[in-house]
Amino acid sequence: MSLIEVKDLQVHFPIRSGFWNRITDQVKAVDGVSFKINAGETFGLVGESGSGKTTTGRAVVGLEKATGGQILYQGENIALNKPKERLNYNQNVQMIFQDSLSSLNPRKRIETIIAEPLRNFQKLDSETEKIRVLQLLDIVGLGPDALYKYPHQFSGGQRQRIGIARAVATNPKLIIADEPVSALDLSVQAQVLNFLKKIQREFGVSYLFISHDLGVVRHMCDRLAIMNHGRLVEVGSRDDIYNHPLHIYTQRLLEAIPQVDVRHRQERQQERLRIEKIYQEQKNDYYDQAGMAYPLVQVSQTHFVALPPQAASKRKLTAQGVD
Amino acid sequence: MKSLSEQTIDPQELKRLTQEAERQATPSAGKIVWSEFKADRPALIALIIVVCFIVFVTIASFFINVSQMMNTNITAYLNRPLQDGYLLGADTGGRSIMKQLIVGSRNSIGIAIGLTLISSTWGVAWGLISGYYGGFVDWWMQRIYDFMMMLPMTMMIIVLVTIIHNYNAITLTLIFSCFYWLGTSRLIRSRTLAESKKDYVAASITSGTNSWKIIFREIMPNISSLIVVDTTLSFAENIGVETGLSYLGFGLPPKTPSLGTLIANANDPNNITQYWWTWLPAALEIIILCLAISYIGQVIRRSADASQRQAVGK
Amino acid sequence: MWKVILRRVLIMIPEIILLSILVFLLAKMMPGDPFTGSINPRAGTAEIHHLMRINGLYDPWYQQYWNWIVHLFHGNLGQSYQYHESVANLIGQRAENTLWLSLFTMVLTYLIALPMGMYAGRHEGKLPDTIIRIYTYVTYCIPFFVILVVGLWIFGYVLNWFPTTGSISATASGFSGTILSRFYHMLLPGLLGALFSTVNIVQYLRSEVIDAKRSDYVKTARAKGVPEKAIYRHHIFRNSLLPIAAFGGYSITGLLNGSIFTESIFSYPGMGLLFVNSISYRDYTVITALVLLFGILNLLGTLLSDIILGIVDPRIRIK
Repeated sequence: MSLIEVKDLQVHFPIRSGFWNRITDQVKAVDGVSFKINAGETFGLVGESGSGKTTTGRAVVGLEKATGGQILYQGENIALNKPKERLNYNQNVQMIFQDSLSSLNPRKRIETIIAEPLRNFQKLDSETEKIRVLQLLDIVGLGPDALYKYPHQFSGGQRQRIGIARAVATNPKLIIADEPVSALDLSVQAQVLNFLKKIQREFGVSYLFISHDLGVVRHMCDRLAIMNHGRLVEVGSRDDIYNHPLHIYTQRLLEAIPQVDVRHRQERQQERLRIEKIYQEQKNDYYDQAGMAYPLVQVSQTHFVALPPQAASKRKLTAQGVD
Repeated sequence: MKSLSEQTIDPQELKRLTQEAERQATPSAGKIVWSEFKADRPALIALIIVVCFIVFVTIASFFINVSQMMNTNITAYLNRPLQDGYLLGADTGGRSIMKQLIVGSRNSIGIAIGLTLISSTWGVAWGLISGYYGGFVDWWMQRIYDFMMMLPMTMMIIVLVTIIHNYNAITLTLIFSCFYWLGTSRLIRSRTLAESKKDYVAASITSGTNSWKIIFREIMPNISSLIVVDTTLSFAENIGVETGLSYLGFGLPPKTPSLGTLIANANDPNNITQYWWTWLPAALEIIILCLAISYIGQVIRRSADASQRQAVGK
Repeated sequence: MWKVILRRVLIMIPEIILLSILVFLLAKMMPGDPFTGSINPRAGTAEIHHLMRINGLYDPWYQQYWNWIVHLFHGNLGQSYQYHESVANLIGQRAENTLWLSLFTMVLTYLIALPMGMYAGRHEGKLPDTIIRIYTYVTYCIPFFVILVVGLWIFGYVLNWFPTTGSISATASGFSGTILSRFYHMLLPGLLGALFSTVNIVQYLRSEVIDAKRSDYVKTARAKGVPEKAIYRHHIFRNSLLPIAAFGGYSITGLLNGSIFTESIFSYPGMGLLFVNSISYRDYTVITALVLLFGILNLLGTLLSDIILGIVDPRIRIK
């Protein structure tokens, strides 16, 4: 059984307009997304900005109200609108935010910030709590002198590590990492990513790793999903996606990874142009009239692609959902 | 999972670290404001004037028998200042202006403080709740706000004062408070809207903190400087509220001296020129008090901005 | 845009209904009844009861409210007990005076505020700017009625430059004489009112100009070689003109509120003074009519400002 299963998740935002300010349209930020995350694995969610990946992450942790679909945690349906149920759920599902500065309350000391989930979920006495906070700081490589400082006294990388310490405070099973390193310098990125990996090794936590950086995702993730316009276009293992991409959008995305390879610059450019040409030609096949991707079909044990219906039936593939 | 025993720190070490961290920590907003006052001589003088004045009128008014003071004394009819021991002279009823000024100041300032406390508390809570919850709650709270904005404030207060038979300083303060929270609530709401979108609020939600705690323990400290500045400036403004209505004759009940009723002596064309001491001291007092308080507000705003800059780390 | 305005107007309807109910209930709660002492000081209680009954004053409140509203729509605001005149006529005469004074104040406000704000923003940090800032700071924190009383004392009595009461002198005659006298009487209250209401506009315009000075579009204009004068006139000033015009609508609320003080202090026979007198005489029909009228005027002022801002800011327009 997987740790968490997202079934046909929808997050629609209403657009009000017209004379009576009625809901006339919906922004379909997330429109029927399904995936599973197994215990101890890192599942990547990749897409360009505006593709709905952050909204998906926020809906999974309960910050955004899902307008449809289900979230199953260890096989149980979680009703995120019930405060009590949500509280239990959030003990096991935590989040790391993109902007490390804004995610830490500027008026609170680090001790209070990290202790916040502890105080709400586990009632510890103040001594044990302090020791637990020190322990958490140690896990992310910060010394006890950080305890009484304020967030602005740290560098971006350190702040993000504090955010990580807060997220792992209650020993969650799943952490949603929403672009955890995209606001950091490249040199610091690796450091923070390594802390994330170390924590995974030690505590066996799963990550839903949201990023637009395919390089980082390749480094971090076992399986990943490509998201486009609120839908998944391809789900598969790292090998499936990086070496055998089937959807034109994935191909185009991968081709956009910059490479430092001066000798083959011409060839690389030719290749990019070829892929772009294919993309422009086949765009209408791969997306329906509304510009949305088709449902996923299984092409191998691990690999799912949003192929157009004709192509899918030609290959005798049927939509079976994600496994 | 590492066990706790592996990580224990002995209490001595913990204490030392606590102290060291305490030293290194950023100064609190209060300290920054205080250092700003120490650096700014006029501001310090303004602060001392206001505080000393309030303390003085409060204490001095205890030694004045108000009903005796308000009795008419024909022998002192319009005494000039310094005449017959009347320091600031007397009005047409032969009542000492000086004593009326002291008691009137206490009444007017007391009402202004009460009004500021009630209306700011209400306005801050209203703005925080409206801005944090958003959606339906916000919509309704804004409709109520719009409706209140439309009411002709001064007229409504005057009408309410005439309706209530036995009103005193407290009922008067409550009537004013019904109308003077609007500005604060709007200001706080717009800041709360911006603050609620920040990730630390989302982090608190996922950390299981309940909404009330998030509103009053997480968001409110972050807009505290705005609240302090707004409260100080509305205090200066609120001095004009009661005195203005008392001036028109709809404020404090007759026989209760107020700075406004003293200035109302100027309504008489004879008083305003010939017997200037009956009204001018009260007018000057209001002017000085309002200037000093809002100057203090400006200084707090400046230091609040400075600490804001420091907190953001720029 | 028209849809937005129309919706905005429709939202006003429940607000006006609510206001009218509130005003009506407040009037009901006021002490005393309109007949005691009005017709015949020695009228017995039985007679008063009879009068109350035939005038429908014992009906349930919603019935009375409905009657009141029906009368209102027929332009019948009732009779003033104090002036023995129809309220509509009474307010009509006074409204004219208040209107002229308010209009005059507003014109003066803009005449003073626009050059001041532009100048302060353009020469930020220099001596005139400092003086203007001190001026706005001082007038902002002193209560309005104190400014009026002190102004009246200095300019009206001590220096004797202006008349101190009324809206027209008794000796004024002829068309131009009347107008000049009216104008002369409005000058001091208008100036003092403008002194007070310039503050917001000056502060807004100043910070707007300072922001604009550092903005990229002004830098671009400067780089293109647009002369400094033209930059201020065509780029900066024009951009802040409409938001400043919107202040006009909002300031109606302030002017009406202020008129109660201005008119009492200068004994200027407008609606504010009428209100204060009516309160003293417990003249309820006049009071309710005035409160309702002021509320509706406030609403129209905000509507006007919102529309102007809607024209300026496309974000509001779309919403």
